[in-house]
Amino acid sequence: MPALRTLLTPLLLVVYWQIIAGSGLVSNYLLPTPMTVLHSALAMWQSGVLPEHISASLTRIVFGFSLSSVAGLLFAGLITRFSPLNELLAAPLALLRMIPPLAMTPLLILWLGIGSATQYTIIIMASFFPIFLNARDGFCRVTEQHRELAHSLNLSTWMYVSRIVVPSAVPSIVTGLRLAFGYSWRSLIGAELIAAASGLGYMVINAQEMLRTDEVFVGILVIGIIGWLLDALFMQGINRLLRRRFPEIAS
Amino acid sequence: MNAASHPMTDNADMTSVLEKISKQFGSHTVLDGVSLSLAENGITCLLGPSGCGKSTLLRIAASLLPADGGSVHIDPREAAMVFQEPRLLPWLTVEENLSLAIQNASPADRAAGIRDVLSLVELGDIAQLLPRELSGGMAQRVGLARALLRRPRFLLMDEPFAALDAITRAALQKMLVALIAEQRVTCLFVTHDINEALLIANHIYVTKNGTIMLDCASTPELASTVPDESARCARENVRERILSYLQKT
Ligand SMILES: Nc1ncnc2c1ncn2[C@@H]1O[C@H](COP(=O)(O)OP(=O)(O)OP(=O)(O)O)[C@@H](O)[C@H]1O
Ligand SMILES: [Mg+2]
Repeated sequence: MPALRTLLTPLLLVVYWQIIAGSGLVSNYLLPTPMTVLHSALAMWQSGVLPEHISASLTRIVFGFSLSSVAGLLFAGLITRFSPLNELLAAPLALLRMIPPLAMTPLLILWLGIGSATQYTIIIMASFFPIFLNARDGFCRVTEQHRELAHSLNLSTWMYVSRIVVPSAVPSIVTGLRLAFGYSWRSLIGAELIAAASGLGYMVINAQEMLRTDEVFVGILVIGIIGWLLDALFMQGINRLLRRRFPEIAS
Repeated sequence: MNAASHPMTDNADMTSVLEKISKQFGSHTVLDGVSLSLAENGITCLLGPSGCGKSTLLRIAASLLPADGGSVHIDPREAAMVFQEPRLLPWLTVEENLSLAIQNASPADRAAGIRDVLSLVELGDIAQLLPRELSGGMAQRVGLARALLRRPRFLLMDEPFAALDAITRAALQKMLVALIAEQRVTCLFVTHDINEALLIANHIYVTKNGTIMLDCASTPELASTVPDESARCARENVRERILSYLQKT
């Protein structure tokens, strides 16, 4: 029943779209009908264009996001452990955080070209901060009671970190990862619009140049759907992994 | 400041653990020259009203908090603490929580130790449960089991049964008395409940206004598990003495 309700709104929107596009009030060049878009999508899938661009974008997001997660978590750990780093790096980090990754594309194109290096840099810039900042906050979430407990049990540093500090940070880390994932997916597509020779963003801008509005629609919808699926997949994985020990995360 | 109002019947089995301890929080003096000796292989109760500094004293005894003055004669490696709440890590199973207390043991010893200590505190097959799946009484038993796993010479307990219902509390009090006798540990038990102190203690201190003002000597009748008439009489005497002391200003 809830699944049905989730699908109801999109269905109504498609019907509305069909009515407007089919009414002849708007030119089909500006707004192709859902059927046209569906046919284009099938054609693009069969010709191999769509799979190719999807896999280009997916590869980038998987590797870029993994790299960024590892870097963000490690860096958060490092800064928590060596607190002077915190002050030393506060200013550059605060500055960097306020720069939208896409604003870096002109420089990145100059330095790295329009290949994957630019895309990876954009993904990392977009997702590093939410991961890093949330993890850093999380690592400071150890309660006074748990600290006292660790002291009274005479826990080793390793046990303290692995059994108390990291688990205390898990809810924050999950929040950070999820936020960061959305940011990096959107920035990647943005970067592909400007500086790439493959990927869904490139496919959309290419279709626009070819005056294929239907293909632009296909690209935009695929971007949304894949992002949504990945987010759902991510949350489901997290749920399965952590539901028992961290019931407060499972939503 | 130790105005012992009653001569101790037997000094031989008392161990001095705290000497002239003082502690201030800002300008508020919580402890003012408190000295404490514990009944060896028995239970010493520290009885006092809420906010009089019992937890502070216990945390100083466990070296979890530094004192401003005085000396502590408890090696923190020989002490284990049972907190007012079970204080189990919610993301670890009972077994994993317990194994934190014996990290240096081999995995086989660890498993055996956990099995033994769980049966000691009369808990069945709960090793794989998470703390939130336990009742309050079970969780508090696990907290006690964790402390016992450290094979402490001194067991420090901070109102461990205060949050439990009367029936569960009575069961745990009985279990504790038997355990202490069997395991031969020296227990400092903090409580604000006179009945609890009378029931389990070999020795009772009453504290008020930052100092220990009343030292109720060990009597064989105190903490006797045999519910005979003389034990009951002795307890009533002690209760009278404590109450009249607490009512004095
Ligand atoms: N970390 C602290 N900072 C400032 N004041 C404190 C601190 N810890 C305790 N106190 C104060 O010390 C006094 C004694 O506190 P303590 O927790 O030792 O009392 P208690 O006898 O254990 O009370 P209860 O029976 O309610 O647990 C209180 O007045 C409390 O406000
Ligand atoms: Mg207290």
